[in-house]
Amino acid sequence: MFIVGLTHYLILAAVLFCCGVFVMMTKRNAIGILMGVELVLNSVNVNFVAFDRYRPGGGFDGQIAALFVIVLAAAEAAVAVAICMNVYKNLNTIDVDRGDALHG
Amino acid sequence: MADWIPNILTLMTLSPLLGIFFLMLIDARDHKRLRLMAMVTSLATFALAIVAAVDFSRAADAADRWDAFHLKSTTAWLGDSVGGVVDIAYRVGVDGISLSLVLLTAFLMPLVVWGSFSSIRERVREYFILLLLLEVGMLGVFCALDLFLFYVCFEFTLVPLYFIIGIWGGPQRRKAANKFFIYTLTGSVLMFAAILFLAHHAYVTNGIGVFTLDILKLTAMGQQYLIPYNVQWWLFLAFAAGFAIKVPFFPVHTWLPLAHTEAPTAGSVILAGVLLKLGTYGFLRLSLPILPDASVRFAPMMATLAVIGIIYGALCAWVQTDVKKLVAYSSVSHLGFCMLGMFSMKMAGATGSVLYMLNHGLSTGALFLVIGMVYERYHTREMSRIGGLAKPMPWMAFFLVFFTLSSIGLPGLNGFIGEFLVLLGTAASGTVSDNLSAGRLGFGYAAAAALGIIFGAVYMLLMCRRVLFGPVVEPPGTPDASQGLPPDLNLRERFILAPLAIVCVVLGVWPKPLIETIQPAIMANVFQVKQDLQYAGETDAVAPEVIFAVDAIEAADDNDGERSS
Amino acid sequence: MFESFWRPTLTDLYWFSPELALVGTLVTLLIAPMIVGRSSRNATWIVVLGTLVTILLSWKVGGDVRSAGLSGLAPPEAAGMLILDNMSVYFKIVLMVFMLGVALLWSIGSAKKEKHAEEFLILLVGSALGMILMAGTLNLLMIIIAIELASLPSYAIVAFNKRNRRSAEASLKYVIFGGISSAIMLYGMSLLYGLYHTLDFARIAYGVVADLQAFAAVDVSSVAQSVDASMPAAQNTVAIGVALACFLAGIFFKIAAVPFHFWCPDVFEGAQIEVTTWLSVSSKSAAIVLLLRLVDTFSSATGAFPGGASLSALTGLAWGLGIVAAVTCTWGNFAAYRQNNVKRLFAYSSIAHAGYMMMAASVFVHPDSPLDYSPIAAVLVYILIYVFMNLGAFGVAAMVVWRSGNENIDAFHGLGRRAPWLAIPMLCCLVSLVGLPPFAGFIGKIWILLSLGASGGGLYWGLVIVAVLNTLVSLFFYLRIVKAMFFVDDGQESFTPPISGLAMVNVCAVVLVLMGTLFIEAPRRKAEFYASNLFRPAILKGGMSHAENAAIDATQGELLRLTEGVARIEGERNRRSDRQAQTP
Repeated sequence: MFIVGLTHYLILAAVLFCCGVFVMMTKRNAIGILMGVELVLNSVNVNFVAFDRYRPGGGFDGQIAALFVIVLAAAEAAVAVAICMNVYKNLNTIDVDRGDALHG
Repeated sequence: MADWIPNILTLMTLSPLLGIFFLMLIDARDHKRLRLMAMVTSLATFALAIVAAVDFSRAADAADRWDAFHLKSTTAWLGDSVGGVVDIAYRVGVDGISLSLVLLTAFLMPLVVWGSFSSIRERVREYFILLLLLEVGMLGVFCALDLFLFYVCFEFTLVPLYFIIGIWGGPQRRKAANKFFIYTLTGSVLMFAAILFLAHHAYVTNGIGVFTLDILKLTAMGQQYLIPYNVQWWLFLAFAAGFAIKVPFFPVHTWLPLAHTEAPTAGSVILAGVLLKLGTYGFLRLSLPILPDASVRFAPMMATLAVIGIIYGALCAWVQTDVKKLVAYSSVSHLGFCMLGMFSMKMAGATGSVLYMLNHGLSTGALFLVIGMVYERYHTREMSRIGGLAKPMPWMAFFLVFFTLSSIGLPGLNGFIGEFLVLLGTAASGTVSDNLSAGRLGFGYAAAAALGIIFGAVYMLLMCRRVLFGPVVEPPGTPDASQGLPPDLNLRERFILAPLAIVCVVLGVWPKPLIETIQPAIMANVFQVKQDLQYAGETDAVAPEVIFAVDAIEAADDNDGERSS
Repeated sequence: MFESFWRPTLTDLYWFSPELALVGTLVTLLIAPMIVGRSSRNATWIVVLGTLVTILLSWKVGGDVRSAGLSGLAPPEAAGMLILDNMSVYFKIVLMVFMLGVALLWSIGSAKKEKHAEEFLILLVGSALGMILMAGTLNLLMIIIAIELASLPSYAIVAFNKRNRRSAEASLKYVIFGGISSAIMLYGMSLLYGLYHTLDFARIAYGVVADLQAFAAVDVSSVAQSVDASMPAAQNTVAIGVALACFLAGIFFKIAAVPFHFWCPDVFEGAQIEVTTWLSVSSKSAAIVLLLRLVDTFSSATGAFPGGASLSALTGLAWGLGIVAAVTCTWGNFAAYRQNNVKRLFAYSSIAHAGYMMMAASVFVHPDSPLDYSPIAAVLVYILIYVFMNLGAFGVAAMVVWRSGNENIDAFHGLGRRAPWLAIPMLCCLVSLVGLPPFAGFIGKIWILLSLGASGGGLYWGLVIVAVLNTLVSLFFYLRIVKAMFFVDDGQESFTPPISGLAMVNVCAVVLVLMGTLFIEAPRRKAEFYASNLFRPAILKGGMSHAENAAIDATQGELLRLTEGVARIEGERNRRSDRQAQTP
């Protein structure tokens, strides 16, 4: 019988993480990059919850951490999207490569 | 024994700060009063320096120790307390060597201030403030008996001179100021790393165990073989980086001619008269006593570079058309003599080296002053544009010839005795004399350096001839009398140069007291301890190379011993 | 079941009153406009008052903790969640002083025409709160919350000038880089949590040291016996490496260490100059203090093993940190040279200075043989000095920029004549930033170099060399401003800057001179005192097994409840020292 164990969760999280990093690296659209960030954060959540479930001794640390990560992700997304809107108003684009006012 | 005035050295070093305070109170447009105030301050500092000198001799007589540091005072500054694990304190004190340089500094300063009365007409207050700040730094270096204080003052001299060159200098002043600052700082940051390492080494060394920057303790440590040879090797290079650029030593001298040409007269005088001596003084006070083995090891290299510098500087000076640049290159040449004498590891050489520092300060400083006075009237220093000035300016001609002769070492004037001693020490370096073991230089070095003296006579006299004699050549519209200057030197200018000339004659005719002050200090604080410890039983038969091999082996053994324990 | 939850008593809350005072300031700022109407003057006063109260409370609480004989304090059952020890008190006070300076600068420059003063100040205070929390925690969850609390308001405050294209772009870059780095940091944290089953960094450090030591030993099996049997088996060092690297990446981002520095110049250039001032010191120093705490935890973890693990297990980490520090410092200084925009120049300068501070953070000191020069104290002094250097330099730059509307170096042309009382303090700050005597910057650098030198070793002497050479490199670009001020004059009008601004920058310059000449030792001794007695959870205190440690850790929570009195703590200490005496 096929039993889902810690390893499978970790693989899932790793895949999510890689997808997220890939998105962050390839997307030029700010919202796209933020979605990549969210993917990574979700992989973090999977990790936390899985490690918590399979940890010897029990406890809720990991799950609490996952909850906080969700909240943080929401807060960050709120600020980031607000900033994206502001950028769009000023520059008419949210393509991160188009920002050329600062030569960085 | 109690000193007459407690903390006289601190008082002297910081006295210009009081003057700066008063200068700040005076209205910036009231040039007359500003000048007077600066003059009074520098004279007061000079007076304090003389008091310090008298006090020094009194203390030395009382203790019957002319070879020791006197007027010492110590105040906890960094570290937990004096003598604690971290022993970095405000330590001052002078011996014969530093006292003579202190006197030189304090003596030149009033003359420089006086000399700036007519040449500086903009931002007068800032100018004098910077000049006096510079004096604080220079006196601090010479009085410091703690490496930390030494380094702080050493670096601090950069900032005022940077501004003096950069604001009141010639057309290329910004480039000159930058080059000066960056060159000098390059060396000194390396030196700083070496200082830290030295302190750390004292800390890990058995028997000291203190994180100390006390120059005397470090000297004792160096003289007692507590620094392994390979460490000394690196430290010597790092210290040399700091001091050689300041000297300026042959391959790294290129900042000097530019800085001299662009600096205002006072800047040049201070630069040549005192600041360059910080480098040679650093070698004498730190490199030689603290790193004796490496110093001996590097002596041929340093001497070779010094000789190259002597000849190269002389040749460069020969072809200059700008009088100031010519004198600047002659400084490169002359400072080579200082270095040569020092690294002969002989009493005569080292004494000559210190004398040379003083004499160079006097005569080259005076030459720059004379050139500055000419420049004020003719607005040029190009030898092709001025000539035959002996006719309109007999006083100037007299002083120029006089200081030229002093600079090229005419017997009877001050330059001679230093030059002679340096050559003597260099030539006799290979022998065991003065109870000092053989150095590694020899007659060849002396011969090559003597060539530099001949060149020196040639280019200096050529300069005199072109500027002073022949048909009168004056650029159109000159001499410039718009600032109220007469064609020849006025009374003020003559009174600036006269003291210098008098001192030159006195030192040339009767250098005995000065030599007697310097020599014990050199014996005790530069060479002696080393000699007591190691070379006492050595004979001529042991070639220097053998001694070094022994040193290296012993050093390696020391290292192993530390590791295994 | 709620009986088992920890509920704070008033005493517990008292210990964290400085943070609460800041929260109170935030709330007051929110409510005040509804009651007394919007006014930037009122808002500024609220912030000044709140900051002063925070400083006073930090001072008092710090004193109380010490007089109770405690080296540090953390809420029970969550060792390291919120730490109150000397270092966190010090950082609170320094940061608050700096915030006062920034608020003053802001009120001189932008407050009058600002319609959203309350919002600006809320963001400022909010990020300050986050930074304070960063400096006082050893718990992964709390670290990320603190970092986010510091970051989110910073993102917004950079974009505060909504109509400005450059601010918009800067904030976009900031939020995207920040989001990515915190996501990666979280991933690292989740791995650390998975490896060691705890969010408490002290335990993680203990485990990491055990594993690395086991890995470093030639004969793994023999070490496995010496390491306590109750520890989990040696973990894969690759996993540890990846987890730590991801985790540190987030901190490096806040420090703006190379290669995570790309945001820094753009953000500094795009933001208002007051915001730049704030970010230049605060975000970096908070992250540095956090890094110091982590490093200290690692090195004290080595003392926790019965045989005494050697620091060599952490060599890799030390080299990693040292190299990042050296590269950061060098990169910052070299890149600054090309800059014409003053804010951008100072961005690179701040990267370089963060590099200097990180150098000291790469020193791992064995808890049993502390150095005479604690690197932590060195960094704390440096932060203090850096606060004054940057406040002075940015203060002058701000007044020049407001005057001319030009952020390039040519705005400084002839400043020595146009406004000498701006130019002179600027000169002091710049020379101090280079690190030349007789200014405080030199002294700050000396302490850092001494602490590097005192720890010996090739890496650290290498860092000393890098640092002194960097001093030289930095000279080039700081001198450009000096030259512009004193050597170039293109005839711009002279002007009289606002008197309070003049006072501020001149006070900064005087402080720098005094700390560089007369009062060299006092700040370090103070810092040494504040760096001593870092809070170290019981697991790091050594001489006992992992299981015992865990037990004591659990009881320490109880013990620290001061309501039960100091006596028990003393008793516990005696007991432990007895036990240590019995087991040589």
